[in-house]
Amino acid sequence: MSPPDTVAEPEHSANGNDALAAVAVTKTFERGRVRAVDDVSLGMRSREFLSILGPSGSGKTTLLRILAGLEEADAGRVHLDGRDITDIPPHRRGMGFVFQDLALFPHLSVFENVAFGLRTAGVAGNEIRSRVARNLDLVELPMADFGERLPRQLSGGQRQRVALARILVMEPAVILFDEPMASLDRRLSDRMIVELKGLQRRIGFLAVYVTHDQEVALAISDRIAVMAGGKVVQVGDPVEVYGHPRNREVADFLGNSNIFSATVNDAAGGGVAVAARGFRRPVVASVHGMPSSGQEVEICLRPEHFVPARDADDAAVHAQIEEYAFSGDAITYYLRMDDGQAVITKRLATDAVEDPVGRRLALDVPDGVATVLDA
Amino acid sequence: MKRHAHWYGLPAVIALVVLVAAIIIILRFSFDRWNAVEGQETGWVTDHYERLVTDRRHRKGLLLTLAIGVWVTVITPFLAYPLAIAIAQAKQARTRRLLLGVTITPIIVNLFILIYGWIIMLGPSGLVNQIWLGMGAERPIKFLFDQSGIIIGLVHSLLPFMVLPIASSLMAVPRSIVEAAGMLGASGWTIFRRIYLPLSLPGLFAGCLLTFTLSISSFVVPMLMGGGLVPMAALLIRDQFVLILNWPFGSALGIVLLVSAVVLLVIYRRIATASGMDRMAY
Repeated sequence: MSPPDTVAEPEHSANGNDALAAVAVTKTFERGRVRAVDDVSLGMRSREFLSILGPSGSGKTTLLRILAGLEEADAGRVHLDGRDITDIPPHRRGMGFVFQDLALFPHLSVFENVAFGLRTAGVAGNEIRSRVARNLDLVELPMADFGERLPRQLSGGQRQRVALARILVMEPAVILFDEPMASLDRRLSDRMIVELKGLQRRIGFLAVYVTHDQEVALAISDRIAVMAGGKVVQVGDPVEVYGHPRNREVADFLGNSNIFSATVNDAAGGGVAVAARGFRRPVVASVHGMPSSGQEVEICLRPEHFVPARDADDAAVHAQIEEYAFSGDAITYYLRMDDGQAVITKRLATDAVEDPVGRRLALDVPDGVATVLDA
Repeated sequence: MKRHAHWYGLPAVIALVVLVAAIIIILRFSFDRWNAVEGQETGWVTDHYERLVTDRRHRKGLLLTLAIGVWVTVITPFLAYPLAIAIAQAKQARTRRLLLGVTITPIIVNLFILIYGWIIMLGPSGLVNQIWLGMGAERPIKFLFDQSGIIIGLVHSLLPFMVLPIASSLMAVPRSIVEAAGMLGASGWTIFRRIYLPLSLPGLFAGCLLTFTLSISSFVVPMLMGGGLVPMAALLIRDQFVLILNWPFGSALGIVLLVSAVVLLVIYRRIATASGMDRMAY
């Protein structure tokens, strides 16, 4: 995907086309002293995979619990398919919720865990059997082998699958995930997430996935909503949110970033030309709002946005390599610009420079990759 | 630290030695000869055990004691569960502390005061009977000097020993499990039946054990509530030791009570183990 020259206003607030929407939701704790969720509006489309990404304490889990009805909002409404469901109890919302600790029933077999919702719904015995079997197959836990096991006799990954099957068997249109993979080791959680994404695509439910793990969010999501301090700061597809963070919080939270102060020169080719401090020539940055000429702003550049300059004399930045870190597939360079600012860049390991420390580099920044941050 | 580890068991060892010694002494006494004129004489006779077969009053007393123990153990969980669930579900620490405080009032309040309170409530012209008669009943219910009063008194005074282990089992159940059941459509009753009850069985097991053993050895409640007219084991044994001074017979009573309680508990334990209720599900 080519980076857009200007970052379009994302579909942020709720509108009529949303499958699920939070409308101006506010939730405070400790008698109003802590604003966990602060006037959040967020629309979620049917069949999409939307991650709510934020550091701990950003309010993402509280927002998810309000969507599920497990928590009552102080103000605001929740809409599902255009209906106001704010006052409908959790189990009548037709949503599934995968808890952070999975909340499997420890005394019930895998079969009974998955059958639980069907039993409370009064589904007939033979239908329960076939539906449980089908959904256990779906998560690759054949009933013949796993049906009679207790949760404590399963591995962490298998428990995830049971938790998912227990929800899928109810065939909800919306499944809310409260960071269920957080307890798995990296490799296993990567695999589970790819599987989850495949299932979601195949079955076509709306997945709302809360996580503090930016890698997970970037890997799995159709769209990411970044939360900080109880507010949704930015919503967009992963490429957009990563490449063009709206503000410093988003930039810092999603990966490494280089922030430079800059002065807006003028509009150029859909973006704005900015003169960044320490840069040898202006660069064209994409912009969200409409900054005026001469305005002082900050721009953000990701490490991989810097490319080797074709012509050293015309390069945007001259810098010296101070330190480097090899990470298998890539190398991160810690540079010092001539005016003393630190810069982090990243290159594929195949482009490695031999004995890099002390070398001088001439780097360029393609038009449009830099982003002007909101103040 | 580790060097001293073997001292940690010392209090238990002392308690065990004293207990075993007492049982041995009582067991030995129970075979001694006794008559009203000469008193106790060392010997090896089974008179006192035989007397329990023929002496209807004492035999019935022992059976009554066990029956009251079973009644109290069966009734108490019904009152304990709502309280235990309220304690486990309390969202605020303050609410939980308050409920726990209420729970242990029967332990804090002197047992005599607790029981006299009930006597005032349950007497022929007490509050309960006033309401009963006010509803059009012809005669007041006889609580005092009767098993029913003793059971009421024991249930109240032993309630904490049922509530606390159940509540501690329930507090170990993560809230998310209850929420998950709720999201899957479970009603309050279903949550109790399929989540709370099975997950609190170890607590219920411990609570029943405590309640039963404390019931059959209870003294103050049957003495006050029963006015000495309901022959519970502890009173019968006390009579032999203190009034009649027939220690061998009193000892035999004690041994038989102990053995029958142990037999009942072993059966109970068997059932509990077979059904897995003495183990945590986690």
